Parts: sequence; C-alpha cells; structure tokens
Amino acid sequence: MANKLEPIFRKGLLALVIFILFIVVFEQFLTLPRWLQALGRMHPLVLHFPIVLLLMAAGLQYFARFSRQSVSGDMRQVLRFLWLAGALFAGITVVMGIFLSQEEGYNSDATDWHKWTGVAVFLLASLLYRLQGHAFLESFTGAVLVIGLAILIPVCGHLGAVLTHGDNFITAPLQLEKKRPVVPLEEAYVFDDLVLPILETKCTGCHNPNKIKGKLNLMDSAAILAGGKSGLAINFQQPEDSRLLERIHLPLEAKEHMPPKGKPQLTPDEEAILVAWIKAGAPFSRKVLSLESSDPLQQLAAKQFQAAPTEVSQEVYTFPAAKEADIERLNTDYRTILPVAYGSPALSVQLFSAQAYEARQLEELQPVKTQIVSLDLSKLPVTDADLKLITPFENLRRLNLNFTNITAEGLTPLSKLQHLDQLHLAGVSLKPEAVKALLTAIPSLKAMTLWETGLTRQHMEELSQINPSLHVTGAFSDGDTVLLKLNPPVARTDQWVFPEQTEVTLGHPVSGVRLHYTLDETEPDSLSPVFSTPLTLHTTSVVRVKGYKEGWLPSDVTDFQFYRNTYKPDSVQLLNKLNHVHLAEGAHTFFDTQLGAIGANNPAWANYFAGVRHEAMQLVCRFDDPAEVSSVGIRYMIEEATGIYPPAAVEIWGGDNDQQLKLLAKRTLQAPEKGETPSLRKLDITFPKHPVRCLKIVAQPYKTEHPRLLLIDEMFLN
Amino acid sequence: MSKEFLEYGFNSNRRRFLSNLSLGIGSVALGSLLMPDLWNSKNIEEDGLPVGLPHFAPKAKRIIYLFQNGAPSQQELFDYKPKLNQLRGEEIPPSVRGSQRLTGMTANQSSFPLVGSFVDFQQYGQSRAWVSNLMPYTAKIVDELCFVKSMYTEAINHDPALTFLQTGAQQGNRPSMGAWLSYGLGNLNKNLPSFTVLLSRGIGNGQGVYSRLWTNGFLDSVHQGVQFSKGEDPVLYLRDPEGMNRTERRDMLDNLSVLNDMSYKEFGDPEIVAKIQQYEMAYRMQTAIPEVMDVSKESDAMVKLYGPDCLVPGTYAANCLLARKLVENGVRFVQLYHQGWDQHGNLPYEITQQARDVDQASAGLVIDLKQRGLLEDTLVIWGGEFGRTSYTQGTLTPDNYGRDHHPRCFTIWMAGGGIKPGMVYGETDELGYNIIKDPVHVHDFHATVLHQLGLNHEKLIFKHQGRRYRLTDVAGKVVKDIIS
Repeated sequence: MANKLEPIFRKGLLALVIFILFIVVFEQFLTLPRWLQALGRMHPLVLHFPIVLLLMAAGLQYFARFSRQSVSGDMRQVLRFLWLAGALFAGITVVMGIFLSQEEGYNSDATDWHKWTGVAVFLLASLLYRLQGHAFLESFTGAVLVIGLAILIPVCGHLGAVLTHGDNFITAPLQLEKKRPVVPLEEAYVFDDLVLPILETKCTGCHNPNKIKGKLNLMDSAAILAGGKSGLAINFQQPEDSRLLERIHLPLEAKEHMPPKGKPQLTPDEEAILVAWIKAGAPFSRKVLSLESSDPLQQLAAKQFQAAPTEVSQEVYTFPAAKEADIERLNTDYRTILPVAYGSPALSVQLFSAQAYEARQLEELQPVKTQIVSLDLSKLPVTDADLKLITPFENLRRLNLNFTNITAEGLTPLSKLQHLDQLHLAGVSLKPEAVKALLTAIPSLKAMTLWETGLTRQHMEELSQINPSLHVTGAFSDGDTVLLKLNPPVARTDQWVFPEQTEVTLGHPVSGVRLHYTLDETEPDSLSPVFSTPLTLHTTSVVRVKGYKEGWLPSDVTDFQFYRNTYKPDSVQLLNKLNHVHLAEGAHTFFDTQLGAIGANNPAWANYFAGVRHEAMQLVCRFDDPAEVSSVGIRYMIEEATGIYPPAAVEIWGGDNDQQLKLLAKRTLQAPEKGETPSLRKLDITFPKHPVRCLKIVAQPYKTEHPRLLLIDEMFLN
Repeated sequence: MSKEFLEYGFNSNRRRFLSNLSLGIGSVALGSLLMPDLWNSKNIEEDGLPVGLPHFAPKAKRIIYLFQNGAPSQQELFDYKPKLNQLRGEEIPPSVRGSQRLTGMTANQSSFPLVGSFVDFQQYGQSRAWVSNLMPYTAKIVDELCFVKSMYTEAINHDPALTFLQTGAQQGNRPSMGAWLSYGLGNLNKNLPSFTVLLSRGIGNGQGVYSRLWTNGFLDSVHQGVQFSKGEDPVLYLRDPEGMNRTERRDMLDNLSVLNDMSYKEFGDPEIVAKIQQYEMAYRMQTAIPEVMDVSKESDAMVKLYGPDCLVPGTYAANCLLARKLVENGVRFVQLYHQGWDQHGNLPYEITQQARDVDQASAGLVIDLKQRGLLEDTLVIWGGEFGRTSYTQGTLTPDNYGRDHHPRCFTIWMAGGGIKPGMVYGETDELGYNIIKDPVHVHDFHATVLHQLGLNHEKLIFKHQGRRYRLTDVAGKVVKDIIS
C-alpha cells in the first residue's frame, strides 16, 4: 500500500465516524433526496466487502497473536490495509443502510437492531485500525475486541438478512405451512383461494408428486382429476359419493380415514368447504362471487375472507407536490386547500360562503392545478362559464357541484376531466342526454349523485347500462305516501297573565299552515275562524288552536291559557315558612306572572312553584286602595305518584285590615286517584263582591297517610 | 517502546488538530445537508406525527355524533331478546350476573326479575337487522347502518360513563373527541368553529350535560366545542352591540389591528397575532352563522324528511337539520346531545316518547346526507353512554317496569364514513346481559373513529405535564371488521 495514500484514507475514516455519529443521533430529521435513495439501495451490494475484509483482518490478527512468531513488517502492512479498507467499507455500508432505512417499511425492531449492530461493527473496526501496531492489541482485552468483532459481524449480517428475506427464511423449508397472499373476496376463486389452501395444509404433505401416497397427488387440478390407486377422487356423476368425501367422512378410528389419525384434522369449516365444493360439482375456475348468495359455499367463503384484515389502501399519486408557498398563499378565509394526507402531493380544495364567491377564486388555483384531486363548490353560485376554469385540473377525482347554478349545458367541458370518479350534482337541474354524454366521455366515473336533478329512476337505470360499474344516488325513496301530522301551533304574547287585556299572535313553525281557533272552549275544526290578525283578550280564556295544511294531517288541538289578574296586591306576606325545597320567590311567586310547568327537568317546575308540606300556606295580600274582589283563582300541580296533592281545603278571608278579617268563602277538594296522570289545575273560588284592603288565603296541604306536598305557582284576584 | 507509541498517538500538534477538526465539522455539515428541518422543528410534534393533517388518506372528513344521553335501553330498541319475554318475572341466574358491581339504586334490591321488551321487533332490509316498533323510520334505513351490539364501558354511572365516552377518561379535564379531531385535522372552514355542540331534551328522566364534555382539556382553547343555543343568538357574544353597524365594526377592527400590529412589532408576542385572527374570525362568523342557521329556505320535502319539529329551534329534529347544514359548511365535528333516556322507572311510556323524538330525524339525517353524496365521507354515530339491565329496577307490574345502568353491553349504530353499511356486529347472550362475540371497548370505538378520519390513534399525541396523552390512553384497537 502506498504510504502516501494511507493518511488520506485515515482522514476519510475519521470523517466517516463523525458523519455517521451525527446522522444516527439526528436520524429523525433526515430527509433524503431521491438520488441518495438510489445510493441507499446499493447497501445489499456493498455490505459483502466489509464482511469479508473485516473477517479476514480479524483472522490474521488472531493468527499473528497466537502463531508465536514475530510478525513481519509486511504482515503489519497487510493488517493495517485490511483494517482500514474493512472499516472504510463498513462505514460506507452503514451510511447506505441508514439511507435505505428511510424508505417505507423499515421501522421494525429488527431494523433498529441491525442498525445498531452495524454501527457497532463500524466503530469497532475503526478503533481496531487505530490500535494497529499498539501493544494494547497484544493484551487479553485486545483479543476480546477482535473476537467480539468477529462474532458481531455475522450477527449483524443475519439481522440484515431477516429484513430482506423475512425472519423464517432459513427455517421456512422446514415448515409445512405456507402463508398465502391475502386476496380480496371480489377476486377470490373457489378452488385457488378456498379449496387449495385447505389441501395444502392438510393433505399435500403426503399427496404430492414427490411423496405420492396411494398414488394420489392433490397439488393441482389436473392431478386431482387423475385420481389415485383406488380410482377417481371425485365422482362428477354423483358428487356425494366421491371417494375424497368418503375418506373424510369415515370415523377417525377407521384405517382409511383421511387425514390419518395423529395428523392435523380438518376443522369443521374446512370440511364444510370441501363438501360444499364437491357437491357443487368441484368447479375449478369459478369466482366466489359468481356463486348464488344463498350458496353455502359463498357464505363459508365470506366468513373466511371476513377474517382477513383489511389494510388501509391509499391511492398513490405520481405527480410532484405543489410549492408550499403557493398553497399557503392560496389558502384564504373562504378557500381551504389541504393535502389529502400527511406527505401526499394531492390537494383537496373547498370554497365557502355564497356571499364571498367569485369566479376569480377558481382562476387563482392555476399554480396548483395539477395537484387538485378534490374540489367542493357545493351551494355556491357557480355558473356554466366558471366550470371552464376547472377543466385544467387534470387530476381531479372528486367534484361536488351540489346546488350550484350550473345547467345541463355546462357539463360539456367537464368531459376533459378524465380521472374524475365522483361527481355530485344534487339539486342541479339536468337533462338525461347531457348526463349520458358526460358519462360516455368519462369512463372512469364510479359514482354520481343525481338527487333533485329532474332525472327519474328510469333515467338513472339507463345510466347504469352505459357504465355498469357506476353507482348512482338518487332519491332515497319515491315520494313517501305516508302523511305526517303537523306539529303543534305556537302562540306569542307579552302577557300570559294580564291585568286588563292582552294581545295574542298565533303561529306555526311550518310555513303556510292555516290556524283555526276557538275562544269558547269548543274543539276547533276547519270551519272555525282562521287566525289572521292578533287577538285581543279581556277575560281569562283558553285559545284552542288546530293547524291545517295541504299534504299534511292536521295538528293536534293546542290550548293556550291566558289568565286575568285584575288586582295585583301592593304587598304580600306569608305567615308560615315554605317548604325548604320549594321556596321559589317566596310570597312574590304567586303574583310574578310566571307560570310553572310539569316535569322535574323543566326549570319552570323548579323555579315557579312555591309549596308547603307540614303547615298550611297562609298568604296575606294588602291593597293600598280597596279592591273589589269577587273571585280567587289558585293554580296548583297534581303529581300523585310523587306525592304532590291538591290543597285539602282553602279558606278566603277578607277585610279592611288583618285584625278585622271575615271568612268570605271556603272550599274542600278531593284527593287525587291512585295513578292519576300529572296535571296542572285551577281552583276558582267565587264569592259576593267585597271591597277589601286585606285578603288572606289559607290553603291546607293533604295529610292522608303522611303530609303531602302542595305546590302553587300563581294566583288570580278578580 | 509501547509507551512512546501511545504518546505519539495522543500528542497531536496544532496543525493536525485543526485539520481533523475541520474534517469533523465538514462531516457534520455534510450530514446536516440531509436534514433541512433540523433547525426549524416547529411542525414536528414529539413522538407523534405533525398535527393539522390526516396521517393517511381518510374515509371520513366529518362526524355527526347523535349522543343519546342517559343511556337508551338496548332491549327495547335494537337488541332483540325474545327469551327475556319467555322468562318474564323469573330471577336472573346468578351465573349470568356474576359478581357484577351494581349501582346504589338497585344494590339493595332483594329480587332481580327479568323483563322483556314491551314492544315487538321485526327484521328489516337486506341485512335483516332487528329493530323494534318504536323506531319505524330507523327500520327503513337499516341497510345504511352498522349496528354494534357489543359495545361495553367501564363506568357504571352517567357522568363518568359520559365523560369516558367523550374524552377517553372517566375523571374529566381531558380533551373531548371533537377537540382531538380539531387538533389533529385543523379547521376546514375558517369562518366557523370546527367543533360545535347542540343540545336538546326529551320528556324522559334526564341527566345533565356539562361543558367539560366538549372541553379542549390541555389542548389549545381554539379546539374547544362551541355550543350553539336555540335563541336569537346561536353563538353568544357574537352580535354587535346595539347601535353599532357593520361598517363601524369594520373600522373599529381595522384601527384595533393597527394598534395590535404596533404592539406586535414592539414585543413580538405571537399571542397578539392570534388575537387579531380571532377578532377577524368573529367578524366573519357574524355573517357565516346566520347563513348556516337559516332554515327558512328548506323545502317542504326536507321538513317532512326530518319531521316538522325540525323548524322548532332547540328540538332534536332541528339540531339534526342544523347538523347537516354545519357539516355541509365544513364543520368537522357536530356533537348532539339528546337528554332524557334514563329510564329507571316508567320505561314503556318514557322510551316511547324519547324514540318518537329522535327516530324520524335521525333517519332523516342519514337519508339527507346520502342523497347529497355526503354520507360516504360523513360518519354518523348514534348511541348512549352504556346499556340497561335485563332485570327490572323497582317492582315489575303488568304494564310498567324500569331498567338500571348496565355497562357490560350496549348497542350503538354508525352510518357512512367508510363503515360497512347493512351490518350487525357483535352479539350478546340470550338474556342480553353479557357479550358473547366481538366485544368493542370504548377505546376500540375511539381508535376506529379516529382511523376513519385518517388518524392513527397511537400517533395523535399531546405531551402535557411530562406525560404523553392520547384519546385512547394506552389501549384501543381499530375494529377492522366494520370498516368497508
């Protein structure tokens, strides 16, 4: 070796050491240009050099140490050369290997182990080169290093072989079972993908051309047809009597039972498949899907294939990625451009807001026209002219034009989009001829949405004739004949409880509903007055409303209750405490015009009812000016199941002040029936008109079995 | 002699040192040429994949989750168990119940009589799926649905179970599913929030829903769910104050952004830029939200499809219609909650009402999406937080009964978004109590949903307080059998 070259290579080795340490430490940030990938793929070629060189070097070193002869200067030179060359090649191999490992599919534990052992081999070899001529090498530790390297090299090599050939490459010929590639159900053949695998796992161990027991070979269709020593395996005239089945069905103890006792037996599913296959006439070239769906064979097959895992299949796009700066610049408030997935060059574009739409937004997409595979323009005022701006998007797969302003004529330029496979045109007024022409022009189309386009079911079937693999989505069902009932009408007012009068507006969520109403508590029908202008109510009344509309069943009758409360007390006071759960707004609850509702989930239940359980409710109302009261109304709740009862008795006392009260009226009420439906009731107590400054209302809760809750939300004094 | 050799080896002179140093730096420089991102690692999330894009091409772009809050009884809706009717009133065999933990509501019950569904079932469609007569509209679309009858969860009470299903953990304060999706996939329409929440309530016994179910947890607050309310202001605090018109608002924002820009130049705080962007988004939302919320242009046929209640704000039907309009406008995740499914007692009456609330609108939504070609990339999920017991809670009377919480099995359905249509997955025993085939844990369900959206649940990671978090925690397997 020329002494002038050695220092150069030595420096090269040092550079390699540093370079490799650096890229190994920061490997996660590594991004490779394509030409380096090509270099990486030469790793399997180059790796043989360091293996040979380093093993030779290690061997010679060992020989030099134990031969007990003085090592000549030439020998030293050769050793130095071998170590240097070996280490250099090892370094180059490591670099290439790291480049190769950046490609898809090299992320297993095995890759890591291979990488680290490879790096270790390289570093160790470099170290041993540096130690050449040094006494340290003569020591025991030095020998261990050399031997360690000699062991590490085959280990590393084997780990690499596992990556390329699989981990059972060496032992594979020793194993009978073969892994077959997974075939999707659509492409599966009955014999090749269903029957043959069973034969191969359970039969061909003994029935193959090399080991041909009973002169029967089950390796392929021709051999199976040929049969064996005891005749044909399959009887096509009477498939049930085929010899193959006979042997399978014999009891396990029988000498002729197959597979023989002690060998792996057929599973019930496998047996069922063989039986069904032979009974079906042992077809050799039928696809699984060509069988009737009721065929047991297909059901068994479906079961078999369902178990196979489905992997994520991704379309691979070959066009180059767009400039990131372009994508960033074109992403605006109303236009979103995103790669379809991390690392994919394909872009998906969606435009938003009908108000913000301009054709310019499409024009501006020119810099990324090659990369757009999906474009969503639904619900935007896109015109026929705008569609011409889309035609340069040569790789477009998916186009959504639902509810745009385009017409049948506008479809023509779309025929330039030769990769299109999904086209959504719902809500666009179309002509069948235009759609047919487009479909003929773009054979790649797989799915079309044609709901609300004016095309009939008949038209859509004709489309499927042009392109049988086309999937058309139309209306889900042909005009439902079931009539729906209108939902309840609504009423709006500023005052549900009013002192003198209130104005009520009726309405309905569905437009165009006629609202018939009554004010006399009779049931409204289509002859009752129709609501047109707001109603003015002067007395406590119920507005009963029913809605009607063509094409609908009339709504249920809905009652809206309005209450007059002429004399709102100037002050109110409770003489007893309220139940601690049902305090609401205290004494003010009863005149706050807030009506409660049933149902513990409803805030109007919790907030608008005040109640008592153990003591009577004693409410004192005071008026600055005498009030000519002649009736007291009390609204209360009944919920028998939870123990909410009506008042047992109510007394009305009136007078000029609290000291001079006189009993004006008294009423007792029935307890509710067991299981009675919950309801809201109003108790009206009338008495001769009496001017009062003070009115006391005493309501006793029920005490049947145990004290019952009395809940009141509002009172009305008239 | 060897000593001299050693000294020679280690005694480098300056020239050698410098030349070797340059060699070393040169090598490092060469290596760094291959690593363009080494010094700007902003997009690389530690351990996970970069956020904002799907990890692989997704089947679904959006999710509508029709959450049936309170846990609907599977026995009365989809999981047909005639055996329960035969054994009505008999004690549940101890071998079936095992050592199961019971809720405080039935733990003290002395007897556990079995009870079957009060309503009949029939088979429908090509898939011959069983559906009860309470769900006539859902029955018509079974061939679009994938029923999973073998869902199970770990929690036995509503709040932890609901929190578990929504955030992947029982104890709260973790990001909700929608927040994870917003974090993982980013926003599609910059004028609307990517995660919205719609609430409605039925007549049945209800359970609360709280904003922690749509929390961003430890993720950035932009990923939080935005609750739309039914009143005049669907999004609170969006409207201009009274007396301010749009030009004035624009002027105000322009002036404000000049000021903010100045302070950004002075301090360089990126939060200032974020703030400017949020003001601008709110400004655009002022027009985008009314455009989405307007149902006045919906045709009579549409109203009949969802049922007339879809025009009554705040109802489940209205929320379903709104959900379709939101996903059409690029919202990633629309989360509905319909309350009132907690039938501990009075089940026959309450579940009939609840089913009536949701049946037509849920089916209408699936049909509507299908007709627009949106179903294939929109994943619709219908289901509650757990199931209900096969034995009655309280006393069994001839026409009334109730059911307690049952985490061991419940039924959900999914449609669209690359899930196999017309499929029934998983099976429970003949008493509808234990799963006997293909169990699906909540983590598996989450893994599957993320997978459909193009996200690897093991790679969607956020590091918080020294720990790496995932929606699926440390578990979860994609249920490949239900993926088409």
